[in-house]
Amino acid sequence: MWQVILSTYQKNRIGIMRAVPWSFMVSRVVTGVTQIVFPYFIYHYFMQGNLQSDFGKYAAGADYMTYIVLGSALNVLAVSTLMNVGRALISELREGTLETLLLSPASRSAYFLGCLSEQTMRALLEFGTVLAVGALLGADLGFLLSLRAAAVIMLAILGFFCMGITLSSIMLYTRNTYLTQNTLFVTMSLVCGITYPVQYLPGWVQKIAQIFPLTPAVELFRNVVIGHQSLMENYFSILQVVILSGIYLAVGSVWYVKMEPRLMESIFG
Amino acid sequence: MSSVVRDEPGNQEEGKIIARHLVKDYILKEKKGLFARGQKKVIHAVKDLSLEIPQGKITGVLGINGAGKTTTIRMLASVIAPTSGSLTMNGVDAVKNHLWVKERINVISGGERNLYWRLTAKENLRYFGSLYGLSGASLNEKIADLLETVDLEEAADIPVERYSKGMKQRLQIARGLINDPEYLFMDEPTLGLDIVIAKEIRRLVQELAREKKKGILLTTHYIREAEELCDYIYVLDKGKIIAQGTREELKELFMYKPQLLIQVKPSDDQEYLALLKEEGEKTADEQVLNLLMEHQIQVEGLSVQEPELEEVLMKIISQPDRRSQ
Repeated sequence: MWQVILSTYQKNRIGIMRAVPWSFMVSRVVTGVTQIVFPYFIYHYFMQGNLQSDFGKYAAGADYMTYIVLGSALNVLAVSTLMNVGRALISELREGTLETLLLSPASRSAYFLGCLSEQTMRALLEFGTVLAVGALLGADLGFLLSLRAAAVIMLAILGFFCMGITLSSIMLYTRNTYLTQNTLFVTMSLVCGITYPVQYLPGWVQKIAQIFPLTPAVELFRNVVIGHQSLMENYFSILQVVILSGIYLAVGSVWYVKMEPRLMESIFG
Repeated sequence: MSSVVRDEPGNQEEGKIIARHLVKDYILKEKKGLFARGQKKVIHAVKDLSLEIPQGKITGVLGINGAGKTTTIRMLASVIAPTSGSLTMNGVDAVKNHLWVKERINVISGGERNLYWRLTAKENLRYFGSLYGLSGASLNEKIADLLETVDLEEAADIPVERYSKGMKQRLQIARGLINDPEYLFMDEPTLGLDIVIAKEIRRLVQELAREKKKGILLTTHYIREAEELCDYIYVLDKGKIIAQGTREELKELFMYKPQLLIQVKPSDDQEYLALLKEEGEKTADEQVLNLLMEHQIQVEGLSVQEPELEEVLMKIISQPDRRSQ
């Protein structure tokens, strides 16, 4: 198990470093910076720093920059994890290497964990960039360096990973990556409370928002970092991430187990 | 390593893969129009196929495109499940114990897929080895050994994207041997390779069967290759075995004859044709040559052309009385 995780990590890392050695790092950093600079301009130069009075109530008393920096950072982590875990198998299919993986007795879970570990290293770079630029632009991130915050980040990654397993099955089933991932990512950034509180959205959209682990994870992250709340005070959000993770993992795994024979037939048959 | 429960295997079942009455149907959904409901269509890819792959031997499967060769290989390798029939490996039910089977087999396909092009040969083999639970010094030793076997030691640290077609195929063979499989399924391993490389790969395939005692199933498009390598050959058509036998038996069945191509001066061409017509189009090569010499027609070139496999197989398919089954 550990061996497959490690070798998948190494294989992906070598592949990505040889494909895009330095431009890759630059693109990650630039993406992180733009995630923050855009809302910063809108807030300061378009909205003139004015917010509705109920924003403070929904955002646990945070200022807008801190609110948006934390949301964007977690969104970056979600998108990276979903994208890399979700399209891991379909990329193997397109590169013509999936059959060697399916032919082997190696654990599929270990393969996915290998992909997760490699991509998390890259995603954390982008995550760190968003937070660093945010801090420079005035976000108050003092409580970020705490065990509580680290635990929330780990929990969020778990949620995104489990959702990525389901996404992987959807991509393999539809043989489509662009429509699937782009639709999902745009929807998530609109409804999960990244740049504005979900309470501003219509009731039925708020309900849809609850099916994404990003919604409770980002709420939890802000409560811990901005509100200095304990994890116990946020047990409902934690439970929601855990339950959603369990559901996505179960759905994705069962779907994949059912789909693998058909997948093999479509490749080999 | 996965464990397995044997269903009292008989001695005859040891050391071979045995397929009995294998059937594989595919269900295709056909949609006529964007909003129309799909109609199911059953494709019978393999029908009632029985064969054996003993260790230490090379078993050939021949057939024209669409004969069911690839489906057969994938079923025997437990990659896809048969619709019905039984499949055993060393006496163990291969359908129920597919993980156990996967540890003991490997598949080598012709072409340039199944390798990570950005990785070097060593890195590729290290990754594939880890998928079979290999690691550390024993894996490194195995990699060095395999690279020597396929003569890629000097290119071991070069990314595969810079390899020639022949080098990629040799690396494919090393990949297929990384788990030291008991059975190897080779799907057109010399497809598109030049003569020298193809010869080298054929030598390697022979060595694997004769010296390393691997059971090899080989599909090929080259009739000479099948003749040279295979101990026993099955001929497939439309998912059914239409002929089978040893090389010698099938040679008789194929009854193919190489064609002698004679090139004469363009100016003599008409004269030559008229001559042949006059003599009743004699077909024996020596008679034709004697005739040309007798009439002092200068020969500019001579070559022997082997018939295409498709051509020979089509001949068997179109003559049911020649079939051995």
